[in-house]
Amino acid sequence: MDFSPDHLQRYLTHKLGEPLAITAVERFSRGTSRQTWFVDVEHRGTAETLVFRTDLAAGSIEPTSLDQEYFMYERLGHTDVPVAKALFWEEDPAWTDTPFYVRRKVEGSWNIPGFLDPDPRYDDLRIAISKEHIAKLALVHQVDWKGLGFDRRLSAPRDEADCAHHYIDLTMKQFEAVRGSGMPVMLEVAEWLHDHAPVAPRISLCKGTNGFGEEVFKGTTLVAMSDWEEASIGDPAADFAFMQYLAPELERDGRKIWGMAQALDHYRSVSGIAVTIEAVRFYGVLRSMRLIAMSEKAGTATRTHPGLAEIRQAWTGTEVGYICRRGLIAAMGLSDPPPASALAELHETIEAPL
Amino acid sequence: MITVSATDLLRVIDATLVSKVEPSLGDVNGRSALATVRHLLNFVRVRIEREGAMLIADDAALRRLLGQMAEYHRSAGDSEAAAVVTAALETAPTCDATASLDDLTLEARALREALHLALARLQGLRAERGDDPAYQAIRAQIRAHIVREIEAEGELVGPAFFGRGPRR
Repeated sequence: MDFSPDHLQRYLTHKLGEPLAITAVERFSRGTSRQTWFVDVEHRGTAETLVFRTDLAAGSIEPTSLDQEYFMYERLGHTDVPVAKALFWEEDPAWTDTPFYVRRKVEGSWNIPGFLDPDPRYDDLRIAISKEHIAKLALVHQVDWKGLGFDRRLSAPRDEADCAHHYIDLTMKQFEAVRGSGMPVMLEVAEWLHDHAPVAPRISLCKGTNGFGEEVFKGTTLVAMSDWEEASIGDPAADFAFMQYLAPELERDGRKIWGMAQALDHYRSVSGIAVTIEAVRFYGVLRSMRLIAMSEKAGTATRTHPGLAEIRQAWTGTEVGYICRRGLIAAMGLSDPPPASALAELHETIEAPL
Repeated sequence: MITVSATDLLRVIDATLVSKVEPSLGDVNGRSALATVRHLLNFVRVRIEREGAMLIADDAALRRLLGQMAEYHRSAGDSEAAAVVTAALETAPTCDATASLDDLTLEARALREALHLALARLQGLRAERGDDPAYQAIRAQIRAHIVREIEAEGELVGPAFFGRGPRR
């Protein structure tokens, strides 16, 4: 897709059927999976920002497709879950060489000032944000996924006992489709997980990737849930396995005031759904497997399209994969886990240093 | 002889990125990309220094392991499975002492693919042979190899990335 202002002006004038002006175009610096562009538009005397999403030039790192992501936004627009409104899908070769979709931008920010500041005076803020996120996750988990047809695109488990097995098999299928070479640890851990699979408390729509940096906040209100490319249907415990600081472990005067246990208690109080710490740990291992699939896809893009691949794909294909493999052998009790500091560094960015 | 080594060059390139390029970058995208570039340049340096010896040792260990897997299948009377593993061993590229890092990587990739496929086949026999000590022994050998290989990766990744700031 040509994101020059001139091309965007011609395209959007054609698409919306009225003259308009492009006042700014900016590629969003965060995110590794796909390209996100903010396009500021003026028409009918009003200004708004449209969000364009398209795959990376060498291909997304996600095992799932861009049109599945668009499908998610479109369907979620029929629920109480806060999401940006999906506007339209485009794949007409007259306008673009790669498909993209457009959605509205919800005012707010991924960043929450003070949230990562270790000063205890921000503990209340951290807990408030965590509770807000949990309340919105509970909305996701109570979506009528069958009634709204989410299972037209997302495969669904047979029953609660099948949730974990279904998710392991889905992850392995995605991994096998993208792996660059043999990785026997994935076979070992899949077998081990099948042996330790929990029964889900219910079958829910799950978001997949959660946490600080993935959602849009306005003050302490979560106004838009983003990054639906890893959505699935299964055990709600899966959504607690990748929280990226949104269930922070906090102690005050030697007393635990918040953490995953408290977050799960709060989740139960707002949703009525009981998720156990053990199930969260189980899905944490599966989360590492999913990241390895992404790492493999990124690594393959780096090898096969070095002129097109983004530098972050090269990083995802190297360090991220290693950290996750290390996590897998640790989960099976075969080795030590990677250092906690290294895990934290993976989430660190120049905009939000630790 | 060019006395400035590849790793010397990588160090001076990194220093130049810090002193000359980074201060001139105004936007977040550029600074983020530069942070990733610096980590990966460092990773390249560590791999140049250490990966050759590591791959030679790992490829040799993989060949031994695959040989043991073929032997396991022969002992279990499964000559077809043994032949598949042996064929994979014979068709994998073989590197000598003059091999480049790229050649060693190709050999490692072929051998790991063979191990992956052979393990998948073994897993399919678990319901039938899971209680057999010989089956348990070969599976344990595979797990031990997997752990050694991943721990060895850490000797490349840790010094290159850990404690060196945001990756992006």
